Amino acid sequence: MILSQAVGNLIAFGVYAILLVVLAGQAFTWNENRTRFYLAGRNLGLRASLSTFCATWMSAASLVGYTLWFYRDGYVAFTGSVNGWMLGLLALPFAVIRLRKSRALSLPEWLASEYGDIRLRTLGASALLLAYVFYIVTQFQAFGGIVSHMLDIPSWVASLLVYLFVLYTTFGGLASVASSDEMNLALILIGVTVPAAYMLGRLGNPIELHRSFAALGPDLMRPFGTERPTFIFPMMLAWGLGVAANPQYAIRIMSASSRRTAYSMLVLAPLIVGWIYVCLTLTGMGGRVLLPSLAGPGDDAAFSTLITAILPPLPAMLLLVGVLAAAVSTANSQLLLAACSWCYDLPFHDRTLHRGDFGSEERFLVRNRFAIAAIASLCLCISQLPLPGILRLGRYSWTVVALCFFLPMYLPERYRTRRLFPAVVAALALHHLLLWLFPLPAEMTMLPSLLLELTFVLAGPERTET
Amino acid sequence: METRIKTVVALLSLVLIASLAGVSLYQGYAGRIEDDSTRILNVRDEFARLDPNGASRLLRKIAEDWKLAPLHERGAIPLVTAAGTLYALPDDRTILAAIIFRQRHVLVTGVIGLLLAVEAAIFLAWGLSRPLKRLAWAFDQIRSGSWVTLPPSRKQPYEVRRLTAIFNDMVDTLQRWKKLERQISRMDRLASLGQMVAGVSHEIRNPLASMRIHLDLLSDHVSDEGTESLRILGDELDRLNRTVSQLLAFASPRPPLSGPVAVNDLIRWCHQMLHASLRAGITWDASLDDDGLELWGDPQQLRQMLLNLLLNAQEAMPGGGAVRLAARKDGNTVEFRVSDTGPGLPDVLLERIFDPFVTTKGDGTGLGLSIVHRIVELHGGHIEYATSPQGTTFIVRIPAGREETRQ
Repeated sequence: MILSQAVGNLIAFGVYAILLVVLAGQAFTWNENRTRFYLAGRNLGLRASLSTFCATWMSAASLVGYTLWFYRDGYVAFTGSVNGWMLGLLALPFAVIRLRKSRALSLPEWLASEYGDIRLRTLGASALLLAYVFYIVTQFQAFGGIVSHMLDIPSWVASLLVYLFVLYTTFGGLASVASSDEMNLALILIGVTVPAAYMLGRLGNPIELHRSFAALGPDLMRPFGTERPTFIFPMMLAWGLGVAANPQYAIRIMSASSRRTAYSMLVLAPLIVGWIYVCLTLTGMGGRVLLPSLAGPGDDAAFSTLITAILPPLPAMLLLVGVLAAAVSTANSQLLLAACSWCYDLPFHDRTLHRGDFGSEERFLVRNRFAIAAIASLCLCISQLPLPGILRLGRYSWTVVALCFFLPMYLPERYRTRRLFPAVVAALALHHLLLWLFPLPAEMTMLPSLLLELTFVLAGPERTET
Repeated sequence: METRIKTVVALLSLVLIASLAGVSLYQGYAGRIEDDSTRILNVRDEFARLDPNGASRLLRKIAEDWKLAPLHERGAIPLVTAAGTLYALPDDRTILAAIIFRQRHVLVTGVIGLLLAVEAAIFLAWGLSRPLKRLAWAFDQIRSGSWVTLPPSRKQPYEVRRLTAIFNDMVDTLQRWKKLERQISRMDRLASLGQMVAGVSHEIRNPLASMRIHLDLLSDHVSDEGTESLRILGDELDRLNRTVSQLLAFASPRPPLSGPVAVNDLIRWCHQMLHASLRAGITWDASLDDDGLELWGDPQQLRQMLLNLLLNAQEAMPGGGAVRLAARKDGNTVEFRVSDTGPGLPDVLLERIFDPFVTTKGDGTGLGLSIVHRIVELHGGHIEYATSPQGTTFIVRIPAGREETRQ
């Protein structure tokens, strides 16, 4: 490793920490209540909504995973992941009106009120908590792995850094998350744009870069790579459904100051997210041209080897900060939702607001902060265990969330009176059974489970309770 | 407050971390230069046999980040080579970078320390601002008309405990003032109302009496078809007369004609009166006192008091429910409890429930509870109520003996 690069990375960490402390939001605001804590008072403007939407979208796992996948297998990465995600983004505008019509503070609460079944709230919250715990673990792992290789520090120390950054920004609720996400998105954009610009400066314009990349092998140019379309297409579809049903985005739709802001956010987000993917594609492409073979014990080690080998110290440092910003921005959003599920949606706690009692709301919000700290600490501990890998955990989380929320969010109005709970339970059971019985990726087992859920809903009886 | 505390703590932590890191780096740098210089000086004589390239190679072998320069600079070590004197100079930037990298754990720990300090500062600020927030909330509650007090806690610091005590005293004083103000205002209103009502009632009562007499006379000369109309007319006149009598009783209350009253007699009388007029869907339960309780009071007024409360309870439950009357000895007083299972009193009426002409019923005079209150006052007693969406209970305490009544 180049010494000055390691020093630059160390300094970048310090600067990021100071920037976060100075720019991120306040934790205990004077007039806080649960609506402000979970939904920023439903008052996020376009800039804040767009920033938090895009920053949350770009996780450390996505930045590392997509770049490496493109580097190794070429355009199949674009087909399998970016296409799917964008497909999910196209569905989100259809959920705006029904999500914003409700006064619910969380997606499980919305689910229960929309379908008149309180069990759906418990089920949705449990699934969300489980899925996000695993997903936060992947963020800690992804970042911890990369930084431990780049700075030659223990992986748990690097994960501890992200843990502290995430805690700091989450304690203030969604408003604090959104304000830190503005900074994080700017850092992600800089972090991916400068390396891409460096690649173009070094290897010529995008067309020349593309030609050089194509010359490395025909498989890199195939939309389905060396895989069968029957494998890639379900993966794309499953990830798309996962995006469309992801509570992170639903919450950002609910917290926007108006319906118009929500629609504008969804219209502008693809431009920003698309730009990031274009930059990562150019970096992955340039990386393959400059360093045709790459060996590493895992994705994180391979990524750090790649960026130190192909990028000068400054772009490499900026990309690393971008990965840190992506890890923090995704993990804090998920941590907030996990805490919300634990404290607000699961029926173990008193969630009633006693208006004449000052302590009632305060105790509730303090309990949320303890939940945030507890869940983050749990994720930090799990991230240090030998786990099946970032991608598998991410896929599992994604699919569980999709099974719980996709159909409820997009079912046509006339099916709203159907009994949904048995359908979701059956789908989750089938999904886990298939995962346990067959060595298939979670995306493959999700689709039949989703079909089963749809069949249950369409063929099942109407609910009797009102 | 949080931003300020956070800024101060963050700045202090930064200064501390920067100082520690600076000292550590400086020591590392100075130690490295000293070690390298010692090694170079130990082999100084060997340079005399080497040309500049050989000298350069030897220097790098001994001290990795040093270089040879032809000119003297500060801190340089002169070395005599075969080609003349050259100067060994440390490459500060490279050495510093190597030291920073070697001490990266210190720097990473510094960043972790900074974040921990700031996160601790957030909770410190919360702990400090919490009592202020609570106080602001309590003031806001009082501004919006609900009386709250803050529970004192021994865990709080002395300053906060003192502030809480002062606030609670203030609320207490304000409440007493408010009560006094309400009483004065009520008395003023009652006095003027009394005068007006007495005058008007007298003016109405006489013509009513005359109308009643003439109606009775008329009944002998009216055919069968008109008898029913005359009866209705008579009933309405009687009702009007009762209302006027109530108004008069309220406006010019007579002092109680006190004597010993058996509580069980009162309850039996209430049972007879209420049982006959009980509406469908309402159950009535009165428990007789086993101890044969007696009190000193005006039996007629006490009956009126209980009947008013019981009728009120019955009317508070249009959809049905249960009315209950109970009496017991409570110290030197006799306590009557009249409860219903109605929807409770509306919030807007809570402060004015005993004021005259305040009623929730469309056809009520709003005098029932005012008269109850007046009778209780005349007997030296006390009335209070507890209301919730599950029902309302009126609790009347009348002194049991002569002495207490006088007091």
